[in-house]
Amino acid sequence: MEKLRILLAEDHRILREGLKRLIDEQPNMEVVGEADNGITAWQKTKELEPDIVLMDISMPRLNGAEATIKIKECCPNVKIVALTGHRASAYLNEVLKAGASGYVLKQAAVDELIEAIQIVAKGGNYIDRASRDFITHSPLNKRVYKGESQGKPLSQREIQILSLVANGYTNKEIANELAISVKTVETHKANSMQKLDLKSRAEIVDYARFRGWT
Amino acid sequence: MRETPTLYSKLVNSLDGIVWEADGETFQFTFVSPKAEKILGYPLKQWLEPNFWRDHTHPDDAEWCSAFCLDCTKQLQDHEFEYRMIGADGGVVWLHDIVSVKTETSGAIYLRGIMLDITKRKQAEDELRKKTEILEKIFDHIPVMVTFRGADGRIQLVNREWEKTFGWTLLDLQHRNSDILTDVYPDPISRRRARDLIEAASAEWLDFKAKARDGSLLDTTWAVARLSDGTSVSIGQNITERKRAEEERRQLLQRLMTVHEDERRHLSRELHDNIGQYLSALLLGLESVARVPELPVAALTELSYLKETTKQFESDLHSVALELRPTTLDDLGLEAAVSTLAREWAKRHDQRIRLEFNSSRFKTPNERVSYDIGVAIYRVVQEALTNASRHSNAEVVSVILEGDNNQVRVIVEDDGSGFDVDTFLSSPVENRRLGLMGMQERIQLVGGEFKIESGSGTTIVVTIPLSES
Repeated sequence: MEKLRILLAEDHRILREGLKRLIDEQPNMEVVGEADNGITAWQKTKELEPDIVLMDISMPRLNGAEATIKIKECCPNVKIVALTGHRASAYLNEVLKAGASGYVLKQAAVDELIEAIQIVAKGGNYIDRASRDFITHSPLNKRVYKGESQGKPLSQREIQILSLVANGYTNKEIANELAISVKTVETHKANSMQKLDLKSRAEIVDYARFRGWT
Repeated sequence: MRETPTLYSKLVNSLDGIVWEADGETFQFTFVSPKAEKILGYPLKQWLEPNFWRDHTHPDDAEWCSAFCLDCTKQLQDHEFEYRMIGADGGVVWLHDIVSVKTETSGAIYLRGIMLDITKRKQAEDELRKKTEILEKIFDHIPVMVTFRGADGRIQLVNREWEKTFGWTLLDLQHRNSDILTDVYPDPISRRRARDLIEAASAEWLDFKAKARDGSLLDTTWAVARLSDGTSVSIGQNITERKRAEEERRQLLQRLMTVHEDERRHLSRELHDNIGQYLSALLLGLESVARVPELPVAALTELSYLKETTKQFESDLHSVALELRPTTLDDLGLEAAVSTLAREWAKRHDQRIRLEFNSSRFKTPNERVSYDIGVAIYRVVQEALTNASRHSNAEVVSVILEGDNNQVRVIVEDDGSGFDVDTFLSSPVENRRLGLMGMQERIQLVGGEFKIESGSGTTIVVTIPLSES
């Protein structure tokens, strides 16, 4: 069986050497080239046409995401596995958008890296376990409104107050604007939030946008 | 007196003055009406003693009064004059004395007169003079510009400070045809504002960039008050120095902040991109060693312990780097950085957080907010979340980032227990929530406004105008 030909793009020498040794240990993989910056990674990919590029995201001259875009332009068949020290899922989105097929944390176990390379080589996608957690268990998931509130309808006053809240007014400012007391504002706000089952100001903003109040 | 005594004395007593008669040579009174006792306090009998008048006239007035009276009497001339006498209680009484010089058939000369008590009028005049003097002193000597304008809006009077500051004299102004505002505010918008201020006369300070006669630019601040006759008084200060000092301080702080942030970014990068890589390499090495065939169990146990320790080390390093300065902020922009921060925070404190972003300003690279504004917003959100976890027992925290072409707005709100903002802001500095002041300072540095409200929960609203440059 033919070995998987891998290009290793990693600017940190010691880590690159460790990775090379590790990959070369695998019976069905070999490192065919190395790069220590994005530009070299792109040039060597054109020259060597590897099966897989193992790409560090933070590299000098051209970062991993930018290099990924360039490589996908010139060699669409080359698969890219992004390697990163960043847990932030924001990087994940960036890299996947750029065209990478895999996303592996540098802290991941060696087995996971090897598994990722194999899955991607077969045409699959791989996102490491910790980052997958971020996506599925995100506390930030958007809520979907069904339309009109199921409970009691809002009063005119409540609509007025909610849309002022959504437009960035503080309770005191709303009280001044409507010539009522801060306590009254708080009460109206609490009542209307309960009617709509809204738990936070962010949800009020979201809801107001949904209703076209902002 | 001799003709119709009763009627005459009635008339005399009803007058609000002292009717008197005196000898033309000695000025000794031969008659005084009863009012004398009331006005000066001496019994009537005492008035008739020799030299009473001279002795009870104010020492400063006694001499000229005698001389004046003597002179007039000699020439048989009626006369009137104002002078002071000393009352029985030692107080000064101002009198207006109207005197007729009469000659008896015997040829003897006698005087008849009436003394009116004008003390109140004199006091009022005195008060008025003092007030006028105070106003004149203020007008001429305090280092504040004062101008008077007529009801038609034209300058009628300016003080020395105004002349000194702007370089024109009042005389220059009076000989001009055009309004001085044209020269002082060459910019029509400022001129319009100045006219509006004079028109509105709302007695609030407004700042103006003004031009002096020699062309130099001044920062001034003005307030205007309108008088009942439609004229107005403008009070102004030259605040050029103050503005310059404020600006210098602002720039210094901004530079300090930039140096500080650069240093943190550098450290964070160093931890992440260098030390972090060594740790990753170390982990790989440990895994390689673990795969060496036929290792004793003790070695394998030790190796897996080392691996765990290294992973923990790497994780701590990551947290420290994130705290120092998130790489996302520089690489991917504010939205990504705040999202990451919020996620990490929610996970660490097991607390719910909701984010709302409505602007591509925080995402699209070429529309991103400036470096300084981005960092300021990030730090405020960071500090606000730290406060929310530490103090509030909140259930849900909201982070809202909104922006359009003119401004960005950041709101962080929790539904926790809140605190008394006024008490806090006036409490001693050692309070840990000093973070609040830091936030305020940072936002002001980038020209923004910082508001905090706390009652049921705490809301922080930051608004930063975007200058199109």
